[in-house]
Amino acid sequence: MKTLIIDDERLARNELRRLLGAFPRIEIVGEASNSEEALDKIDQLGPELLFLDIQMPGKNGFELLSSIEGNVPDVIFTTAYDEYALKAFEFNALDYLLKPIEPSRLAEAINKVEDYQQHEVKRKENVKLLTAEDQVFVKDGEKCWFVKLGKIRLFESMGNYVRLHFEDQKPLILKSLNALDEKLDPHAFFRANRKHIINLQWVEKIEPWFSGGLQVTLKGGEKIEISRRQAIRFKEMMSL
Amino acid sequence: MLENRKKRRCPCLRLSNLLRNCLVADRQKTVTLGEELKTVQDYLSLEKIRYEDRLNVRTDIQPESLSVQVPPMMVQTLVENAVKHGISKPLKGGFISIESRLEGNFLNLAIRNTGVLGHTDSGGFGLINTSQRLSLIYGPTASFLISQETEDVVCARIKLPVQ
Repeated sequence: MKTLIIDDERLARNELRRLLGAFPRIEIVGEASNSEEALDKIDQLGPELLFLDIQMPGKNGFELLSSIEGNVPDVIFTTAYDEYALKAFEFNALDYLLKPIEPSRLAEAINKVEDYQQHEVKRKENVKLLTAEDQVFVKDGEKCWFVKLGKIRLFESMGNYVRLHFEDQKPLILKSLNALDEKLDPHAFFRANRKHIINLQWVEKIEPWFSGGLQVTLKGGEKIEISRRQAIRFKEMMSL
Repeated sequence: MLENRKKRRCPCLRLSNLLRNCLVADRQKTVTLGEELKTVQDYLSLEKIRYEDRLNVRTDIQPESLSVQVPPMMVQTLVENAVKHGISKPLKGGFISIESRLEGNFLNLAIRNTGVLGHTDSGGFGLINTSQRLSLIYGPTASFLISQETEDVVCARIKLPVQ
């Protein structure tokens, strides 16, 4: 399991690395001493698991998680403070280890991750990806639609809801953009940034945008920014 | 923390010294500045293990000032504050400096750290506590002031009468 250790203290990273030596399934692919470094390494190395400190100079661990675009790895928090435990739940932490870390407690946490990942693999196998040809049932208030996914230009995150854009309709559905992202065929629908998924069939124009991003204009007039990180992914996926 | 066996024994002693001084501080009204600075040194050397290059300490202590009586754990509290704000928050760390001077019948202490004042609201009461302690012990003859000295240096100053 590809693992990244994120902690501002070198000795804390060393100690965790030493403890993780007892778990052959954990492959430490890198370390980061702050959130900026961590974001780059998450992009480059694609870890499946993060050991994440919370109090760090610059962005803290929670802020780091909120700024990850695309797939968020599984997270085990490691911190010297118990006061963040409740907040960690909001970020779907798999576990919360108090430093100094006890080896037996670490073993439990790693078991938990392995169980969880096995379940996830099974769950994802069972989920059939939805393509542009599939039709979906949408209900918003009193109105219903049975709409072909290919007609939906844009999925826009609005807190706990997602707004669909098709024809001149804009219904809201109670679903997270991340959950939708998992179900949609990645060759037809692209995660442009944290707030938007676009239907690539509806792209009319692409222009370079600020700081290495792209701006897409959809047939229908919506202008959507592709963030720098996602623009890199977009080029990788879509280039000849 | 198996870096180095020799390095490891020493922090334990320092930690026990620090804890002992915390307990004793309750019973004494004042200690000499020299004793207080020993506690501070123990504390800083423990933090140095943790922060490594991010923590830089400078001291400028006038030897004559070491025998002056000061309230225990007062400099220590300010140094802890300085580490919390000046060292643990900025990406590249920073510096802390401790300065003591005897001027006439007064002891002047200055504790500086990198940082910007009023940047965070920790909700703590360390600073209020320091100023109340001083006025309870010395009345209006002592003073405590914390200010933004330059663009990125915060300075806490204590002035107290030599008794």
